[in-house]
Formats: sequence, structure tokens, C-alpha cells
Amino acid sequence: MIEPKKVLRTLLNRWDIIAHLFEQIADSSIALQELHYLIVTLIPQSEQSEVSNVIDSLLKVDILVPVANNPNRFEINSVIMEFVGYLKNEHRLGLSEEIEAYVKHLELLANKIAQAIQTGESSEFVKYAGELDRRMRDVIKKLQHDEKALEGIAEQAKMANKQIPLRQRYAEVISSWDEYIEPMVEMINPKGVFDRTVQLVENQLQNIIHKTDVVGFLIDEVEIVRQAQARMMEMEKVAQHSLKRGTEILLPLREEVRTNNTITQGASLALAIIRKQGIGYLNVENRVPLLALSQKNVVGSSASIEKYIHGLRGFEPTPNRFPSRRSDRKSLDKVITFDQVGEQVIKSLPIADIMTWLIENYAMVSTDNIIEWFSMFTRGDSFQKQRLTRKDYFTKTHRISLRSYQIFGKIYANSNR
Amino acid sequence: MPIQTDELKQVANIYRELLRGYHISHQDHEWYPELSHNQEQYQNLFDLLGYQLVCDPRGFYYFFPEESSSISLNKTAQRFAMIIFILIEIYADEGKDPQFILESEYIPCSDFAKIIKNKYQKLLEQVEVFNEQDIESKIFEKMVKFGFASEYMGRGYQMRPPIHRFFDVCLDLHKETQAKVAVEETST
Repeated sequence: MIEPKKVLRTLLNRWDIIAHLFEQIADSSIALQELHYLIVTLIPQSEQSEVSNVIDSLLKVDILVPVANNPNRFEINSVIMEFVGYLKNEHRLGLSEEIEAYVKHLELLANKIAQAIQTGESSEFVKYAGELDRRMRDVIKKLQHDEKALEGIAEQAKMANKQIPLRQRYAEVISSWDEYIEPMVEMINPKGVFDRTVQLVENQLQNIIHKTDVVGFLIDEVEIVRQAQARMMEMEKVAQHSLKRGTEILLPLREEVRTNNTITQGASLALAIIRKQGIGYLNVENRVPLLALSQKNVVGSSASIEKYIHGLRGFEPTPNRFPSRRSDRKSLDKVITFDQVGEQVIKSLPIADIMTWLIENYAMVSTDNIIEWFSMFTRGDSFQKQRLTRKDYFTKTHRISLRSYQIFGKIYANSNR
Repeated sequence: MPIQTDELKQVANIYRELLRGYHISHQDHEWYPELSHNQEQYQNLFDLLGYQLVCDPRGFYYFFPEESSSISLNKTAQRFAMIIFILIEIYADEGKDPQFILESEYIPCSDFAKIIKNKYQKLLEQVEVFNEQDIESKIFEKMVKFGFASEYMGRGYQMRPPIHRFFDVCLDLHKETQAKVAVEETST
């Protein structure tokens, strides 16, 4: 029997070497010579005797154990591996079959507890009830450990060198999905092994409680059974949560690989179609429509000329009534003269924006007159003015884009000139 | 929903770029953050103006054109699609993923010779691309104009997230083919 303190002391004293071995040979073994070389690199200038002492110390406390049938190769003790992995927060994904085996064992223990109740053997009852509780705790620990391992797998995949093809980078993601997540989904689904066993054990435990309530037998032990019931509920909750979390972590990565492969296959398909039937067959312009700014009133390249002519095909002129020579209709424009407008302008000075002022005050006047008056007011040096920024103005019929003026005051001609 | 125009400081620039067919992605530092923080407002605003702003979750925005506005861009879309399909195939033959096109630093101009000199020459002639200069002027320079790529230090072109629109064409073609095969198998 190895003293626990010796194991701990060796772990502490040789941690660097053990951590290094964990990185290198966690899933395999190491030859004596390689082990020797590793220790020399980690403890430079060490003598032969020192290296041998290190190896001996690891072997004495079963941190390193010889591989079966090959005394010159060594592997890390599985218990030590698990402990070191826990300390380094490195979790390795277990097998879904392990969980299945644990869960099936629970059923066996529940039957043994029921038997112990029947025969009235209190000590047997306590023994199996305790083991049931421990097993369920093991299942919970295993599920949580596997969840962490899946997180690690996903992180590693995402951080891997992007020059490596996705399928390679995500190989462990894909195998974890196929070999762990899918079997676990089947196990934990309603009517799966996990669910059936949990139902069975819960019923057994409930019967036991009912029996002891009725018969008044092993009353003290009822608490142990209730504790097992609570543990069972916790185990069920952890199983569902772990599976959900594992799926959330791996599914997007798995889909990324699938999408990637599909894109590559799709591109090859596209090129094959183009070779056989021409690019027009693919109808790319409708699959990926691109916006071209519609330039209704400007023609430039041949393509826009084509579009313009195409647009003209549907053109229909709107009928317009020309005024007759002897029309009694008086145009509003004939009533208002430029001089009249000029007088109004002078009365309204200063004007923040002459174009806006004209449109607001003479809304019913035709656009050409408005523009003509604007031009006359802003030409020459009759007014003190400042040019404004370009903007759009709207008469009753048109949109005009121009730079208007702010008019401060009237400049009267110098009579001495 | 009321539109808070004082939060939309870049609206004029964003509108101008989207209107000319440009796809805004995260490399457009001056516009993308404002678009993504005010996505709903911009969608509502452009909707009022008669434009459908597409907010692709893969990190880009563009105006979805009405049918009539895209007549003149058939050839452009075909050329873009052709080069993307060819690049996917070339890189797949080198053991690289389609994502590599996006994640690689840039596609060097020296690769254009690789494209034009081998089995893709006849394909490119279908879209009136005849040599390396055509690949650059008729395809990649146009891709820059539409936001599908950006120039990289005069050495090549860096592809941008909007090329996912062409990856989607590959996915759709694959799905259509699978559906056709499934129908044929059921009928036999």
C-alpha cells in the first residue's frame, strides 16, 4: 500500500516532469530511453544517477507504471492522469458507453436495495444505498467532466491554424459529435436507456419509501432513500444540461464543416454546368442581383443607352391642351410684373433665401417666371447678397436644384459715378 | 417607430454608397458601425424611401435591387460568380477550404496567371475575359467597386464577406441537385 503523502510529495517535487509527461504521453506510453532523454532536457546538467533517481521515484509511487507485457515502456497511472487533468483543467472526453454502463449499474443497485428491504437486512440496505448515491455522483462528475472536455475540443478547433483545411482542424469535433453526442442523445431521449433506468430506479425508491411508511420498518434509513431520490433528480438535470450544452458547442462547428464541403461541391457543380450549358443557364444575375443606380435622364455607356431605349418602348405622351389665341383666361403671370415683385423684395429685406421667398410668395406663378425673377435679383450688384449651399426647391410643377442667395439689403447706385 | 435622425450621422454617405450598389461590410469603418448599431432605424428609413436594406448576419449590408435596375449588370454578376467558383475549385485542389478565400490575407495578382492558363480559360471566355489584365480590370476592380473585395497594397485583392452571396449560390445548386436526384430515385 503506497502512502498517500508520498504520492503527493512526489507529485509536488516532480510536477514539471509529470506535467510534461502528461502533455506528451497522455494517450500512449514512453520508452525508457525517451524518458531518460526527456528528464535530461528538463533538468540540464543532471547526472546519470540523478536521472535514475527521478525515474525510480515516479515508479515507486505508481505515478508511472510499466505497460503490460513490455517492462521497458511506461505509461501514466490512469488515476494520476485523471487527477493531473483535473488540476490542469484539461478534460478528455470519455465514452458515451461509460455513462451507459454506470447508468445500468444503478438499476442493479436499486434492485439490491429493494431486496435488502424485503429480507429486512439493514446493513445491506445501507451499503447498497450508499453505493447508489456514490454511483450517481460519479455519473454527475463524468457528465460535467465531458462537458468541459467538449468545450476544450471546440476551443482547440477554433484556435487551430487556419491554413489547415477545416475538415482536419475540426476532425476531433466531428468524431466527438458522431461518437459521443449522437449516442448520448439517443440514451437521454425519452424511452432511451438513461430515461428508462431513471424511471425504474425512481419507482423502486418510491416503493421503498411507501413500504417503510406503511410498515414502519427501517424508518431511519428512509432519509438515505430520499437523499438518493434527490441525487437522481440532480443527475437527470445535469445529464440534460450537459447534452444541451455539448450540442450547442459542437453543432455550429459541425455545420461549418458540412457547409464548407457543400460549397466546394456546389462550385464544382456550377463549373460543370457552365461547361456543358453555358453561364446563362445558371441564371446568376437573378440569384445574385446587383443594384445599378437607375439613371433615367442621363445616358452614358452603351448599356445605359440600351436601358433608356428599352424604357422608351412603353412611353406614352400625356395629352396637353394648348391655349387658344382668343382665350379669355388671364394667366396669373401677366398680372404680376417684375417691378411689383422687386418692390415686395425690398420691403421684405433682409431675405434669408430668395428662392424660397419667391416660391412661398408666388406659389401659383409658373416655374420659368420664378427662375427668371431669381436670376434678375441675383445678377449684378443691385443687392448685397451671400451665396448659399446647393439644395432642392419645389415649385408647383418642378424640382429645381441650385445655389440660392441670402439678400441683406439693396445697393443704391452712387449718383456721383 | 420614430426615426432618430440625429443618431444617423453618416446617413447621406451610407445612402449614396448603397444606392450605387456597394456592399458595406465591417472593413468600412466609417459606415459599418453606425449601420449595425442603428440597423432597424436604417431599415425603416430606407423602406420609406422605397429601398429594401438587406442586413446579412454574416456581416454586410446592401440594397436589394428591383428587377428593372439590374438589367445592365448581368455580365458583371456572371464574371464575379465565375471567378469565385474557379477560386473555390483551385483552392480545394490545393487542400484548402472555400473559407480560405475570405480568411487568406489576399489573393495575389500572380495567381491570375494560374487561373487563365489552365482549364479555366474557355470558361472565362464565356464572360469575355481573355487574359490576366481582363481578370483584373473586368473582375477584381469591379469587385472593389461593389464592395466584394478591396485592393491589398497593390499586390492583390482581399475578399470581403459579401462574397458569401456567391457561396450561397453554390449551396443552392447543391441542394437543387440533391432534390433532383431524390425525385429521380423516387420515380424509378
